[in-house]
Amino acid sequence: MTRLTALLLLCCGQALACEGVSFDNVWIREPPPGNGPVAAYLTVKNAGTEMAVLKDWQGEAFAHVMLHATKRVDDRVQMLNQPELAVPAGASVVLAPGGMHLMLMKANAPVVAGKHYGLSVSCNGASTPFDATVRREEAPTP
Amino acid sequence: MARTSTFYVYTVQQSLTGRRKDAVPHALGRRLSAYNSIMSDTAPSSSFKASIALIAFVALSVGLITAVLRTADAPAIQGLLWPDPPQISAFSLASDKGRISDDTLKGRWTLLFFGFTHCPDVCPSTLATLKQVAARLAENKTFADHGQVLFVSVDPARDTSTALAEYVHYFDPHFLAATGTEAELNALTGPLGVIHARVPTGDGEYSIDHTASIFLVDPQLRVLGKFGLPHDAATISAGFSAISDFGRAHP
Ligand SMILES: [Cu+2]
Repeated sequence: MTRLTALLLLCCGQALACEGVSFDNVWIREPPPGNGPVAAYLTVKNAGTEMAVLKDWQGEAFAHVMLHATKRVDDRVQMLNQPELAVPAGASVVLAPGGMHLMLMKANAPVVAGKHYGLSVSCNGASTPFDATVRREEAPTP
Repeated sequence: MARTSTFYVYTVQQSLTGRRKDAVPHALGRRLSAYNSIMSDTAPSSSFKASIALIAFVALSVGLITAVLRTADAPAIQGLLWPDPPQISAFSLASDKGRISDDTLKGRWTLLFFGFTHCPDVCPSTLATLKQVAARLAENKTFADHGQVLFVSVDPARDTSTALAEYVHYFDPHFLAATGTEAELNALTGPLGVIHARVPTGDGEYSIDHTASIFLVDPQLRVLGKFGLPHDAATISAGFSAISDFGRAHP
């Protein structure tokens, strides 16, 4: 009975915390050989009625995950860590090449096209999982 | 009346040619003003007005022709660095195939790009774009016979020349890759105005703030082209063709 209550709390607390938030078009760019960081891209859509604050990104096969923004100053580029991503109610945020990306660090095995990975993020305090597929980018978005 | 016309002609000429003043209408203007002051005590006749109009017309035409000639000399080619292109000076970097130096660039048309392998967003996009540029230029004789792509890592602490070669060959087996010590890198980046500086990312790692432009170096080591962000294969391949044609016509 207590276990059921706990489960119920867990389920509904999570649903309330991150209601209406979805993770679409999630993909990981197949990296060139080496064990450098790998970029993942996705669209976060908030169809709920509350602001969604996302932080603490994780990936089962990666030592750690960060959210980075690529910042352009004249003809220079730089990656900046973004501790939090706020998605207002009714809004979508697109993580795409040249904009924002998830920086997946130190994969436990080579990341190759076709592989699937489980990722997760804390969405208003509730750990929310989503899946990503690796693809080889032939035509980059500039 | 005459003064007004002269001034008008001069202004038009100046705005057409841009920064540099041209000697012809300027001298003409001075001669006109001198002529005008000599004639100032007489009432201007209609034939005088006509001759002033004629002179003004000639001056305007000269200005227009000069402007057209100047435009033909420095055409509006996207990315062209002209006049006074930067010059590559002596440098030497390590690659998987031995040293890469200014000698490697002599006699070739080189697309040169700076980055590092721990850059999963911009660097792979640029290398994928350069792969498309190479494919688009397969029919361009200058590129097919004398073209090369060189990726220079500004992160020698993490990028070995062997790892770099594997990284670029993922995109195209013909691409060259090199790196060097800070001093060796600066010999190449300095004249180009390329900036590279470590920035901590807050997890004990670092990123490198770097110039992401693609440079086009000609066989005489003149940096004739620069393509900024965003990198687009169609723009860069068209720029390569136009700039290499221009460079051959301006040795
Ligand atoms: Cu990053």
